Amino acid sequence: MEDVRKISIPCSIKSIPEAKKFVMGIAEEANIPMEMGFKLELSLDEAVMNAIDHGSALKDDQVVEIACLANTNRFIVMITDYGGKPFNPEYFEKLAAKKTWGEGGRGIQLITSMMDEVMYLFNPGRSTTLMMAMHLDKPPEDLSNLGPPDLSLFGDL
Amino acid sequence: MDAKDALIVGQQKIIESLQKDLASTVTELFNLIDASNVMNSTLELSKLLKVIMELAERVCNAEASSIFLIDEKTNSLYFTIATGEAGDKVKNIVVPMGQGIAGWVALHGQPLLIADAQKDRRVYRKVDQESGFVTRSILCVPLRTKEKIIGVVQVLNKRGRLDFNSSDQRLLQAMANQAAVAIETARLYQKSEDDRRRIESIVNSMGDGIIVTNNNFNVELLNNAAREIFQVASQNSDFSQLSHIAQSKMALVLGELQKIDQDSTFDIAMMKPERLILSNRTTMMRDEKSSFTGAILALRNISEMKERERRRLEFLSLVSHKLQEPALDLLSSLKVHTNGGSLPEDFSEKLDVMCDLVTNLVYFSEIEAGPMRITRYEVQLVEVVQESLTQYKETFAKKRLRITTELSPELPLAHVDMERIKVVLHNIFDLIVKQAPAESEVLIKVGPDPDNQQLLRITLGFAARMDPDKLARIFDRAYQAENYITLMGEDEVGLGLAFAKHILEAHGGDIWADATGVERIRITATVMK
Repeated sequence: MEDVRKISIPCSIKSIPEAKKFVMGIAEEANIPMEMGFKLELSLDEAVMNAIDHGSALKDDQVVEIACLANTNRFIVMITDYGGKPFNPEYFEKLAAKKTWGEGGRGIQLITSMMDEVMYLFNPGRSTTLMMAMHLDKPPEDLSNLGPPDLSLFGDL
Repeated sequence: MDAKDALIVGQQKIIESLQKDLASTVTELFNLIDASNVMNSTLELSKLLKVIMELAERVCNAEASSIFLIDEKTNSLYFTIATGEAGDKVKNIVVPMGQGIAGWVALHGQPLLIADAQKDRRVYRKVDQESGFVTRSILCVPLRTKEKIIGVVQVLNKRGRLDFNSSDQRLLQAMANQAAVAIETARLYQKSEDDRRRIESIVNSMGDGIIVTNNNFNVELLNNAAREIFQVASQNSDFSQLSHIAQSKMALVLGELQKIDQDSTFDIAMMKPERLILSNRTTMMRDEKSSFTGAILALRNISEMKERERRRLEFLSLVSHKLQEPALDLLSSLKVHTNGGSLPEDFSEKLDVMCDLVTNLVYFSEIEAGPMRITRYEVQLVEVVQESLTQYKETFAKKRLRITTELSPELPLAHVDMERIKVVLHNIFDLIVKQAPAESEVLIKVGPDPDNQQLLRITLGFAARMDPDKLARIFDRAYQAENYITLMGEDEVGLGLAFAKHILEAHGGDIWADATGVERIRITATVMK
């Protein structure tokens, strides 16, 4: 059975680098392909930021907990904040695609586009947990439709 | 043979007889032990009854046997099982209580040994008539538990044209006593199994997902709806694997259950790959000693309801925001014309009402949407306050309000959404302008929170007379939303301060108001650093 590794960070934006270092370190150990690692890092930025936002409440010992597990076919990250503020991620995600003001919801939109599995669990007044997973056993993306590279970026070769 | 020899022969006969009795008793004992073992080997009632019959025939060396059980509802006896050649034919016969040998034994609780069944008037002839079986002799004993008689067992026709004797009766009664206990146990087991199957059937037919765990939070029951939600194959009954994080999203749910120590509710939003929103109710099961025995989790799919709510909120949000900018521009342009005298005099007031309506509509949609996502910057809170005051300078000046500030010079930087904090301040300033008398003094302080090191505090003290109940409700979003239209024009405060609270909560802070002395109010706002 694979081990679930956990870390608890203060609920502050100053903790984001520590959270990223922890998760990306496990991703590196698991030899996650670079492209997947990039997507994971982007998703993680948004997810931890959201957890810090939602976890900011007048409570003692505010923390954000991160649990991480890598097995042969999935890389799973669970992020829990203790703000206990439920919200409707569907609303924010879909509104983000239509609205022209503010940034709310764009993070959820990004996470759902980058990750293969996304699930929220809201315990009102207690905690919010986001579980996001990346499938490691899927075939690499088909890049053949991208067309030839734009060499003009490099000037005259 | 002399007297001595005769004595020896007599003694030998006695010994042989005693040995025979002993051997017989030993056989009886072994038969009983054997019967007990065999009867304890099954909890299935029909199998058990068959076993009892076979044992009864064997221990009494009988041609046939039958068991009648009492039906308390009809106060009659019914054949549950009959062995021998005529067995199948008599299965459906019902014997009235008190009638026939079985009925008599069941009623009186006494055994009966009938040596000649053909001559005994108590014999219920219907059985022989329907089965074609000729009953010569009968030994019938009650099946008695501690509380009551539950039926009778009878053996028919001793083999070898012999008669049943008291030894047969004693042996059959001893076996029947054990059989009665075994039958009751099997019945209880069957009832509990029936109950379990019935509950399982009800639970499986429910539209809501149901998960039942034991006291270690291992899944014991997962109904069809829950299997569908968590995509657990219907043939999978090994739930132990489900508790592992890698196996299923259910692990997260089970993990949450373990954190809850009392009945509660929580929601799940599955965003990818499936789209599902679930409202979940947990019930903690406890025994009579209040020890935790397990949990029941009911999962209700509320996706459709949430989708309707989402569409409504989205429409409200898009319309209010799209309306806000052009409406406010248009209204301020019109105001210029009003001031120039080209439009009716009360037009300015009407424009103010419209501006207020549009703004409140935006506030309402944002509050209803739930926790706000903020864009944090590292800023000096003092500078944000000063900037806001500058923007409000003219408004304060119109009412000749005297603004005094006490701003801590060396405050640590705060990570806040500057534009949102300005909205908070503007909405408080609006209240001050509305409530404070002309030429009164307003004191604004910015500094560390004396009660919590993690917070910064802004306090605004001003002269105003406000009903305490009204003051307590100025941040109440539900009250303000409900009464905004009806109270309009009667000192209503609208949703501005409720929205300020919404913003500050997103910053890990809060806002409240209290009366300080005669006709003086203080508003305190906090934000996390």
